[in-house]
Amino acid sequence: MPTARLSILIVLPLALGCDGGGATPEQQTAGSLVPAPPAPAKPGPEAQAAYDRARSIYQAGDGPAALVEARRAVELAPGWLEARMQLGKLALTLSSVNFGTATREQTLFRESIAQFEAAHRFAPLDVEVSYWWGHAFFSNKQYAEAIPHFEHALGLDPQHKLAQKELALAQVAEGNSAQAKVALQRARELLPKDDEVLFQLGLQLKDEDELDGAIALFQEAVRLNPAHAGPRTQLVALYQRLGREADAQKAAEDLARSKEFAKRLSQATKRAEQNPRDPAALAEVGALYLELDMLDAGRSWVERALRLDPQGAEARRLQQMIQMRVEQAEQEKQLKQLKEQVLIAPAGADAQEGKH
Amino acid sequence: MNARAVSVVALLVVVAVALFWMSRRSEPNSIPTSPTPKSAQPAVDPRTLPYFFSDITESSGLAAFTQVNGTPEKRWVVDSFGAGVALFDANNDGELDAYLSNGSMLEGVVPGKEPRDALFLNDGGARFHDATAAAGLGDAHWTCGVRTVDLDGDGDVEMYLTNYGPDVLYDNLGGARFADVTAQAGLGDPRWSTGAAFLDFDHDGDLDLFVANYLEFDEPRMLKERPRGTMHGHSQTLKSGQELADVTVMKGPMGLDPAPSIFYLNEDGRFRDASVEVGIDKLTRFGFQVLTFDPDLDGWLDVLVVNDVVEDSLWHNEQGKRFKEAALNLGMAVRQDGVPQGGMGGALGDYDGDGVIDLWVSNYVEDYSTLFRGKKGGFFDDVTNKVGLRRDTWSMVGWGCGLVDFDSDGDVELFEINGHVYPQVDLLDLGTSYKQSNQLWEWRDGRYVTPAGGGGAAFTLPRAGRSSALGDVDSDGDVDLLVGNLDAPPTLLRNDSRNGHWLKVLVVGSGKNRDAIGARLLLSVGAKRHLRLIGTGGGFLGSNEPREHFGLGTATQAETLEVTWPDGRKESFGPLDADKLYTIQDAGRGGQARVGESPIGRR
Repeated sequence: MPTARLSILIVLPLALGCDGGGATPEQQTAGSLVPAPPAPAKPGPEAQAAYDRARSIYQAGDGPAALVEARRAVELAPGWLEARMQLGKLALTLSSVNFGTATREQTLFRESIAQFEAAHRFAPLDVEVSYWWGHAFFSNKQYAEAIPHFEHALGLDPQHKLAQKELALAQVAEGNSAQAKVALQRARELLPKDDEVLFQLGLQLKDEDELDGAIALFQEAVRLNPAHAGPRTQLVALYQRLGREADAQKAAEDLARSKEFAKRLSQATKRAEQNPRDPAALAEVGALYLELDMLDAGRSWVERALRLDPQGAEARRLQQMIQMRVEQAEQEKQLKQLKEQVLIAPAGADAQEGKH
Repeated sequence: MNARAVSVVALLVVVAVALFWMSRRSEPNSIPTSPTPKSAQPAVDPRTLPYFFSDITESSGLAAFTQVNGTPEKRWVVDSFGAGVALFDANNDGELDAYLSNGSMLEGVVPGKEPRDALFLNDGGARFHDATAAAGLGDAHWTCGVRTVDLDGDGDVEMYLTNYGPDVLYDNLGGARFADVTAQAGLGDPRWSTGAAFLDFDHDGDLDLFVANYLEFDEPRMLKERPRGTMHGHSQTLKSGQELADVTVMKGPMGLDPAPSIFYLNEDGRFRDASVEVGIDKLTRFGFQVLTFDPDLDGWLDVLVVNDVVEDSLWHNEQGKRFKEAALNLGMAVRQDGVPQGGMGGALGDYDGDGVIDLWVSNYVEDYSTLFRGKKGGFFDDVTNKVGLRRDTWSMVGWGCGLVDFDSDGDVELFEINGHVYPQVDLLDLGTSYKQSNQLWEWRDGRYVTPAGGGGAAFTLPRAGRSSALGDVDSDGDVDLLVGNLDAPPTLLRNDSRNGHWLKVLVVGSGKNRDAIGARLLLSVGAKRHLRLIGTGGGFLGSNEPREHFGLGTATQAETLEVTWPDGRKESFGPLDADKLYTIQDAGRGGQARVGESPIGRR
């Protein structure tokens, strides 16, 4: 029966509206190490016009109509890589539906895959094409199919953070423990502040009975994303297993509170997704992320609200608060560094004195 | 008819079919009556398959029974599950008989034509005849599940029916005659109950009863509401332009209130609702399957309830005085990423042979069914990804399930009975379907994999499957499978897999717990240890036969069988020759159990 999904994924506003979401500034590709793909075929004016219409219609909130135009652009310029990629992304985004639970409409999904496959034929060395092909399978839970595309993308650009992260998660889902561990460790290098990567690494350690290490990773994941129920759930059971009953009790209470919060966040996100042109709905999600101290996520929702209504009072207030928090965090960081230097200095001085 | 006329007729047929189909498509709520099976296995030579099941429903006589479960379009949530089935020896003749539960229609049925439960007696060789009337049975309530147990310790098996409506307890009078003793026993709670389990909660020697309830279903209001158009939790316009909101589906469980479970203390044969005093009354969840076991080995049986939509519950028995909910702390309330699952069925067993009991839970679609590996101390880890089961179960709605050694090779297979809750899913392209294939996995190199052929065409034929019951209906030593389907006859799947040697054990307890519920069996065969628990109640709303089956592979003898009786005493027996049924009768404290051996089947 339909399951209430109370856990929250960090859903960020979509840049174009169909970029799949989830890419924080940190997660974006850190620059390609491979030659640029072959120049795409030049579209004719009609194809370009259809493509532009697709963009503006989508931004106006009419996904199905945008899809028609995007298809037209591809039809008019079958060799136009960018049009195929945008059609693939749009079809993937629109394939996401809810029938009791979140699922995918497979006709649109297949259309999406067909576009990425075609794009790959035109540009086999384009890392984004390979990533998106894999990402489409990944989002349809076809992890085994996704893995070779992520591997291909990482062969082209070993620094591709999302490809690395999703490769790791796909290996986890497929039960390829050894490959998953390697991929997760690499993902952690690229994304040291990604709560999901840390959580999955924690699960790997727990599986190896490295319980203290697992606990440390779960705690860090919770710190990075207080709404992530996974590490909190694991902490309850691990504390209990280690006989730390008071810690287990506290972790269980924290989990209950975070679930309540996650519910609020989930409802607000749903409202925002249903009303993507409503700045108040977008700002509300931003405010909740701010409450969690997840500044990057909060900022992107607030900025999206401000793009729709630059004078929006609530969004402006939130923007100021985020800026303040960022500055505060920077100050704290500098203070901490200063303290460390101070702590190091006397020890060095003592040593010097001792020597003398 | 000449060729031209044939062509014209053929063309007309094609046009008529096309028009009919188009007209069906134009009605958002029309349900294809016979959706094309999406995942049926192609016909293959059974001799080439490691696992093979033959559908013997017709020849067995069970095809005479058809389950009725509400409207075809499943307009109300009560229409969406049921079909509980049981395999047990109703008349003590040594053959397994079948109890088949029946549903009803919310809008009423023609008086005198009420769908009724049925008892089919096994005449030997898996040939059954309908003995319902002679047995004094034929309950006309909307029955969801059936739990069999020897409640009074007289050697005959009673039946407890969980109903949408008052539950029913049938006393087995012997000779395949039953009497409704619900009122005398103080039972008959009218709430919508699903799973049930018997256990000696307080160690007083008799069996108490835990009943899971599903939700508060306000029938007059629901009938009045008559779901139309957008349903709670299901409103969605497909972004492709198709209007999912036009697809009407039932309301529930989301949007309806979950119900608390009930716990009854057995006081000299009369049951008293003790839910408040044992502390289970406050927690309301959408309860389904109920299992009893002792994961932390503290000597007291706990109760696990597989819940729909929300966290599963593990009621830890606090030394016969209270229950304390402990699922989260033990690591099995939710899947490993903290997400609650839509749990349906559950089963216990030791899949990896480490001597610790594991848990297999079947779940809703767009999620995986979860294998929890047991750890010492009563803890569990979700190992579904690790053993490779995530993908296979993602598109399925799982119900009946189990851990069983179908090919008697000494390894434990998993199976799951599947079927979606919304027939309307066939109107959409979501990668799943209303009728779904049953699934089977074998343990190979540390992972569960689908064996070649998946168990054969009869096993994988898509159906609206729900309940399951395991038992050796043809007395050939292996384990067969009875499946309860919605709105259809049951399916009796005879196990024709290539088989190793086997051994069956029936333990008989002392006193009123004659089924020895809570006993543990540990069989040693070479380096392997096979653990079985007695009376746990695995599956979905059904009852498995009480004889425990062990696969020995090529071994012709088991070295020892260690029995831990419900009161904690241990006794060892052996060596035991293969391919026999052993009956072990507890002699109680200070005595020595009697061991009898016999062939399986008619006495």
